Amino acid sequence: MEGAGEVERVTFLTDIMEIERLSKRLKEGWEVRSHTVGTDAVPYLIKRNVMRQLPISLEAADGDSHGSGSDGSILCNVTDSRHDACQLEELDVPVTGAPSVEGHRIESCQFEYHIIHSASYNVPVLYFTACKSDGKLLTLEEVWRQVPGSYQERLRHQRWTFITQQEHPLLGRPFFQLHPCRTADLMKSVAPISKGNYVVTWLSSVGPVVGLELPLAFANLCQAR
Amino acid sequence: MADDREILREIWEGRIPVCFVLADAECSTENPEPCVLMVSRLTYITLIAEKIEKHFRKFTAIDEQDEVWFESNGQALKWHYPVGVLFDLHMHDKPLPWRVTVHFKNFPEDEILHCKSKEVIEAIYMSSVKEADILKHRGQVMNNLQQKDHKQLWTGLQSDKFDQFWTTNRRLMERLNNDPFKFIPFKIFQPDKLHTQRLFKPVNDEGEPRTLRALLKETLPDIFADPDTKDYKVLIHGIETPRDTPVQWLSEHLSYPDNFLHMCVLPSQLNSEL
Repeated sequence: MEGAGEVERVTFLTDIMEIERLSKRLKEGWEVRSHTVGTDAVPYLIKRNVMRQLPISLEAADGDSHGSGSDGSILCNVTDSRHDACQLEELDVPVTGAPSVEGHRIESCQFEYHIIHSASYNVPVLYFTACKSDGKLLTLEEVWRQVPGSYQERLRHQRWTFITQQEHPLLGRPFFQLHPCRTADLMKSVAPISKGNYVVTWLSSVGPVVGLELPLAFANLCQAR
Repeated sequence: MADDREILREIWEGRIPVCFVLADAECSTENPEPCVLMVSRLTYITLIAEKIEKHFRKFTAIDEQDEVWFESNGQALKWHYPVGVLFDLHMHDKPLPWRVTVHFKNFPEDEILHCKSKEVIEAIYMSSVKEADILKHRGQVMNNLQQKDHKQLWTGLQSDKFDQFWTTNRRLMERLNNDPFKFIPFKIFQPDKLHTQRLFKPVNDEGEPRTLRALLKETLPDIFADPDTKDYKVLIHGIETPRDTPVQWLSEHLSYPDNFLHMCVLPSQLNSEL
């Protein structure tokens, strides 16, 4: 049974296949994968090799991540990374490893996004992993820091129930996870009577938190079928 | 409701003797003393890391960016599983104490979650309690708990205070309107495999209680085609549980503090082969 704001696994599968089809035409890089757990094949949607230019704190690189805990101080220097990257390009400054003011340098980070259906919550869950140019994973603090300004207030109060590291349910490796506990509530308010593509509607609202933007063409999938 | 207090107590008091030894390559002095502790089955190994780090400080150079991690039989221990699960999975029926190697260098970040503060453990723990309540009560109990109740659960577990923990946990283990849980929160672990988790109702369409036997057959049909097979053991808190036990009872009494029933399925021949 589907509760308000939830999506059944079957519908989820239809939705992600639809996204894959459209993505092929648009060359957006989304693909459906399948992973076998026990006797079940579990399909999920992934997008790999998304490059983002992010300001990485030089201090954090030295291993100081302990102090950035409770007072929210790490969140002060949030900048729009795309904007930054553009500016740097205009100035003809090499982006990777470019030194910058305020104890940060801009680094090329490679993101990979996975969308998996959670049977417990009956909603899609966004997992992602990201590594820096030296191959090291972004730390949780670095992930929090890249969250756009408009979400920083929420992050300040609810960081531990917003984005944390969790075990990937299909691969067993550490991934970052956008917590699913408020997804159903969100979807109830965003699209109470929508019959369109649930995953697209959901992803357009939560994706920007971690740098994931769907082109407008995907919006067509949100119209009633 | 969980009212067999003695059973809850027994489970709470489960301890494992663990001998922590420093990784050879990381010793800066000769013969560092091992650190031997009785560790609660219900805790997380990273919750006692501070104590272990303190012990080994004089035998190794620990830098600011170093992060402690644990290894058993060549495998990095997934600290976000309770100690009892790790032990049953890696060490069941082997000689005690459990020998765990302690590392401070070369953190295997592709294999295990980072754990730089206790807040990380608390977050993992609370998200698990929340998910369990979604399964049991559609999240209704968690919605009614306040921040101070969350803290009481966590502090109770962290400081090993049974009464404090159960004051809040009994609300999470209650049957709302006398209904059995909607689904049973459980995970099944097997050596060298991903854990299995599924939706499983504690009663059938006729309202009759379903047993561990039914759960095993439905969740791992390849292993439990014959649900009474003796080829595999099913351990909960190190105990081989009778397969005709109703899962509702198991969930109420034998769940770990994260409100999940963690079971280990091991081949019975495991030890004679070694």
